[in-house]
Formats: sequence, C-alpha cells, structure tokens
Amino acid sequence: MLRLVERYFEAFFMVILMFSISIVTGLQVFSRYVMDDAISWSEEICRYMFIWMVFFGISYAIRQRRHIRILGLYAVVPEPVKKMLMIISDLLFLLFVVLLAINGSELCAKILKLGQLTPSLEFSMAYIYASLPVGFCLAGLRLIQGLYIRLRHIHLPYAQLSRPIDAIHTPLRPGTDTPGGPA
Amino acid sequence: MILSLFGVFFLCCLVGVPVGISLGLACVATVFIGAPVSLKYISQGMVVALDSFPLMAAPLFILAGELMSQGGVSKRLLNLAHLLLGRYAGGLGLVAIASCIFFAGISGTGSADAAAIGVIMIPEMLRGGYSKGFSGSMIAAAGAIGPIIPPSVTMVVYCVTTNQSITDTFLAGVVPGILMGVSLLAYTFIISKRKGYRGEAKTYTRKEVFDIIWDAKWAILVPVIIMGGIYGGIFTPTEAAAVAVIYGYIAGLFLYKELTFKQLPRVILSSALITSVVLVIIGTSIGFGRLMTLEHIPQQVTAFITDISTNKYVILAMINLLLLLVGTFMETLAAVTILAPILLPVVTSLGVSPVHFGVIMVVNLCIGFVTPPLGANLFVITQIADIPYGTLCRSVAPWLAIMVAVLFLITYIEAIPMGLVWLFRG
Repeated sequence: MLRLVERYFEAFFMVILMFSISIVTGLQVFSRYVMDDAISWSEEICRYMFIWMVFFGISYAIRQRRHIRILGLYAVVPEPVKKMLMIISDLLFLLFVVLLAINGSELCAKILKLGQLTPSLEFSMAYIYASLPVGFCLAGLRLIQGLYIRLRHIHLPYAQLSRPIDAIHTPLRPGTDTPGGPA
Repeated sequence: MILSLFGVFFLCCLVGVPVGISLGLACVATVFIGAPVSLKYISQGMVVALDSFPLMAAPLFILAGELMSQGGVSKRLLNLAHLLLGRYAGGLGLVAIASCIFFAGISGTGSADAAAIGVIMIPEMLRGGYSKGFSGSMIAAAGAIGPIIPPSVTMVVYCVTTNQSITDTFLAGVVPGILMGVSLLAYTFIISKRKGYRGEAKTYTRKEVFDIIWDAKWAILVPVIIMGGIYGGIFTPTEAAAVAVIYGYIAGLFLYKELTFKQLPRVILSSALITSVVLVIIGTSIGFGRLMTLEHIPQQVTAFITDISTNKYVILAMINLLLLLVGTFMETLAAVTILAPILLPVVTSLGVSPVHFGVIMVVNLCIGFVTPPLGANLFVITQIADIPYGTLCRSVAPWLAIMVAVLFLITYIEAIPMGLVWLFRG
C-alpha cells in the first residue's frame, strides 16, 4: 500500500486533473453550440486544475527524472565529476524548492487573510495559491528521496544513477546509453 | 544585476540543474543582491504564468497527439502514405517523411512524431536496403517539421509569452512547414534515384485503395476539425485542442479500438508529465522576464544590435545564426520563453511582423532538434532504432543544409509564411 502511494501519489492527481480539464473544456464547446448555453465557470475551473496539475507534475517529474536539463558538460567530464555535478545540481534544486515552499506558504497565508475571491466561482484564491507550498513540499520530499537513494548507490556508474529511481539497478545495455543524453 | 541574472542562470544550467529551476535560481540570486522586488514576485509569477486559458492549448495538444499515435491513427496515416508514395524511387523514405508531415497536422510536438513514425519505418527501411545513417537522419529531420505545421505547442508558447494571436501564427506555419516537408521529399527522391533505392513493388486493387482511404478517414478529419474550427470562428485554439482530445478518446477507444480503458491513464499521465516539465520553465521565466525588463535588457540588446547594422537582412541573418546556435544547446520552449521577449523588440523595430518572427523562431529552433552534438531527435532515433549516435551525426549534414536553406527562404520572403494570413485576415 505504502509502496503504491509512493509510486503513484502525484500521478493519481495528475491523471484526474488532466482528464477533467479535457472533458470540461470539451463540454464548454458542446454546451455553447449544442445546448446554446455557455457555461460560465468552465474556463476558470480548468485554469485552476491546470495550475495544480503542473505543481504535482514538478514533483512527479523529479521522481521520474524527467526535468529538462542541459547535459552538455556531462559528455566531456570524467565519471566522478559527473556524479558530483549530479549531486550538486539536485542540491541547488532543493535550495530553490525550499525557498519557494516557505515563500509560497507566506503568500498563501497573506491571500487567505486578504480574502481575495476568484472571479466567477467566488471561492478563496488561497486554494489556488496553496498549490505553491503543497507542490514544492512534495518536490522537496522527492528530491530528498532521490538524493538519499543516489548517495547510497553512489558506487554505481553515472549512466545508471541518472535514471529514474526504479531503474537504477538495471544494468547497462551497451550502445543504448549515450554519453550526456538523452536529456 | 545583469551579471547575477545571466551568470547564475548559465552556471546552474551548466551544472545540470533543470532549465526552469536555473531560471528560478537566477531570479532568487538577483533578488538577494538587491533587485527592487521581493521573492513573492517569483512565486506569484509562477501561478500567474500558468493561470492562462490560451496556454492550456499546449497540454491539450500534447495529449491529443499521444492519443492519436497510441490509438491507431498514425498507423492509418502510414498506410495512406504507402498508397500514395510507396511506388516511387525511395518509396519507403517518402512514405516516412509524408507520414511525419501528416502527423504534424495532428500532434503538437516534434520528437513524438519522430519516435512514432521512426519506430515503424526505420526497421522497414533497413530491411529495404537503406543505410542506417540515411534512414535515421531522415526521420530525425522529418520529425522536426512537427512544431512548424499547426497545431504546434511551440507556437502556443511563443504567442502566450509575446501576446500574439495563436490563430494567426498557426496559419503562418502552414506553408513553411509544407515547404520544408516537400524539400525533404525531393532530396530523398533524388538520392534514392542515384543510389537505386527502389519503390515498393506492391500493387493495390481498387478495393484495397478504397479500404485504405476509408480506414484513414477518422485520421484525416483531425486537421480538418482543428483548423476548420479555429478559422471558422467556431472555437478558440484551446477549445480546438480539447475537441481534438475528445476526438482522440473516441477514435482510440471506439472507432479504431486500439486503445483500451486500461491504457488510458498511462497515456494521460505521460502527457501530463511532459506538460509539467515544460511549464515549470514557463512559470519561472515570467519572473526572469520581469527582472530583465526592470534592467532594460531588451532595450540594451536592441541598441547593441542596431549599432552593428541597421540593415534588416543583415540583422535577421545574425538572429538566425544566434537562434540556430541556441537551438542546438537549449530546449526549444525554454529558448522561446527567454529569447522571444528580448529579440522581438529588435525585429519589430525593423518592421518585421511579430507573427512572421514567431515562425522564423520556431523553424530555427526546430532545426536545433537535429543539430549535433545535442539534437533531441537524434537521441530519440538512437534510442528507438539502435543506430549509433556518431553515425547519425555524420549523415545528418545534407538534411541540415536543406533545412537551413528553407529557413532563409522563410526569413527573407515574407509572403511564404504571411501569405495565408494576409489572405484570411485581409
């Protein structure tokens, strides 16, 4: 159970949100043309679902190691330096995530106090800004998880370490793991 | 402050921090050394950047593309291409390129096209006696057409960051994309004649012809619905994308029945993930952009460039070279969000329309997909077709030359991209 939660927590929300966005936006067109009655709230709710989806996605992409990186330097430096750079880059990422999690929760609290409401549905904007602290806290946990696992297996070759955490132990296949890429 | 903004950004990228996070860290550093804004500027900026209905066209087009390629649509397009082009010299190559062009009219991204078509066509081409380098680099180049022909995620991002009309920019991409495709087809044909790659011997009965076309009808309808809907004023680009997604669900689940309900979450998740990693970059680039504006960086760049020359053609050539270089090393959408606000004032001061420049920028960055040493499509092909990376890098040169030639045509003959826009928009 715990394993499933670890693996699919963000994914679960992402799938539901993305699916709902596509359906609700589709309904918007349908209702306007077929039922001749435009839904007023669909655009707004989609935008907010979208924001939450991206913040869950930031965290899930850390787990799957899918964030877009420029790995040019990794193609030319020796193995130990690659590992070192990888750890440094994750620590810098963590620094950003921690700063934004703190800052985001302050922002969220401030908006809650101001009582700002969304234009058409009129619920508190704080529900939307809560995606900042929640998303970045999750991202922070994922980064710490990744760092912990990679540091424990630091003896493995870089090409293995740079994979998603589930695949770290799968041995290399010759020829397919190109130096530096794919990003 | 310029130093901290760009210095920290480049340093972080170099170390391998994700591009979006590098942008964010650069802002944080600039705030800490005393830019006249607070950190809230960045966090709030991330939410504000994403709070945009036009931007939502991007994830929906990504999802639509994934659904179509998994749901059997790409296979029908391939069959159709076989029917139309298979018999000519270099038939398999022509089929592969034509499928990439068709598919570009359905999906919003490039590397996905290259992967979807390459995985089927490269093995066939190798069996047909084509060399590894030729077939691999061909698909990589053809896949790069994806973002030029609408719908295009790259164009959506360009339009959202520069406040341009998505509708017009899509329209401006049609002819350049087709021109690029036709040039690649012509080159394949000429080389195949010379090397003796023959066409397919298969002949079709009248019934088969009819079946193939009939079977492909749901696939062919997609671009018609998307473009027709947008230009008929029926729906906005975002709504068009949602309609394409729903069409994708229906086509995959019920019409072609190649997608099961069980696979659906995986397809949706993969699009959501692609969306998120791209949109982090757009989120943090808002803060970055604001700091650049505060520092008057766009004005300084404009002044710097117009100091060197005031000739429109010279400056456009310089910008093309810059973008080609950037496209090689940097992820496309990141490059768009960072560079478009800097470069747009330069070119508009010369009288280039923002829509035209959008197409120039997208074509440039697409060429970056296939430029060694770091072409994203080359990596994709290496992975799916087991062709050594070095072989691909060596054989991609002629394709690159063609694409750059087309790029300069598009840049200097305004009517190529803008003709349709003028026609439809008066």
